[in-house]
Amino acid sequence: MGRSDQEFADFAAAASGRLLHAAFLLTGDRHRAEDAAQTALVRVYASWRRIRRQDPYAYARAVLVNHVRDGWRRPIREYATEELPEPPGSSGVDVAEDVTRRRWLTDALALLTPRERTVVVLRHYFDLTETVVADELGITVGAVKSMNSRALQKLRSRIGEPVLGGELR
Amino acid sequence: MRDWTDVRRELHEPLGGQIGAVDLGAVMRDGRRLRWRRRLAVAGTAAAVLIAGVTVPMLYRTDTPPPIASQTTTEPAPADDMIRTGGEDGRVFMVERDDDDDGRLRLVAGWAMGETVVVQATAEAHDPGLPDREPGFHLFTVPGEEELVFGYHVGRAWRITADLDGVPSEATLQTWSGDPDVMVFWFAAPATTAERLRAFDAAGRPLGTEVP
Repeated sequence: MGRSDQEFADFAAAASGRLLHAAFLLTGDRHRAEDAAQTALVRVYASWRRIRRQDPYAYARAVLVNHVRDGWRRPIREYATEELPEPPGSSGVDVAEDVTRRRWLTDALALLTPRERTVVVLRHYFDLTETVVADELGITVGAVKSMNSRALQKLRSRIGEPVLGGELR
Repeated sequence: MRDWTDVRRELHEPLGGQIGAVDLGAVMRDGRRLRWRRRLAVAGTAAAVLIAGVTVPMLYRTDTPPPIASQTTTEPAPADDMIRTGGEDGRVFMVERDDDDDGRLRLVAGWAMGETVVVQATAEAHDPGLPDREPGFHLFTVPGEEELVFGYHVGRAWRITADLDGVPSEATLQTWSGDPDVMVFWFAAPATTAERLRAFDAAGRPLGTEVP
């Protein structure tokens, strides 16, 4: 492996975890998240010689977010699986006991519009400033603030819902 | 869930076994294919240009051989038709009327070094069948430099944006002196893909349809 490829491999090893995590937060779907992260890294690699001295992580993040946003405008690809989903209540135990904290977060994020969800992930997972989020999404800082505020209101509406059989703080 | 501190904590909770890993081998294989397709496109376009015998009617003196096959003359560049991008490489675009094609508008790419202009090539229209004053986007490509994203827009655009390799970007615009409806635009950063090309008027309203 040449030096450039090794640099990319090191970058991918360091960045892929966060890209996968962010993609899962954006999509709530394992397969779509893996596809988005993989696609982002393919495009980073294809342009590696040009971007490696700039900010490849920011480039990867932008490609990832754009890819997911494009997916929202296209029919969702279906993935075949041999595992049938468990129908609600079929386990014979209290539904609340099956709802994990992670599932709770995924469901809560699903309450948001795609753009609100993107703002939340960019702002609070990637810890970007409102200005940078606005730049990356091509919207105003005011729009970022208002979407952020609406998103928090929606997430607060889930207060009191069961998490791991109890109340979330 | 009371505030963003709680949200942040939840967002950063490890996903555990809920998600797989990136296949680095597949990433590099597919990335090489993407890079290779781009090179093939460059080589194919350059070959097509040589076969077709591109003519460049407005050519300028230079001591440096241009990278693309062309000729030079001592004719001065018409300032009205010369658009300097302001880039460090001295990149310029020239708006021309093609006398062999009923005065159809076309763009020529080159570089300016002081008063000397090096013509690189006549840019190829992405849609040669499109009437040159048709409202909307008229995209061009410079053979051998496909990552340069530029063209002109007919219709009083004040702002032009696109996603370059997935990154939202904004073009620089300059009106052509020959027709205020013709706005030459270019993006500072080169890109393999340019998607969601959009134009907006002075009030920020979208003009026409988006180029996907």
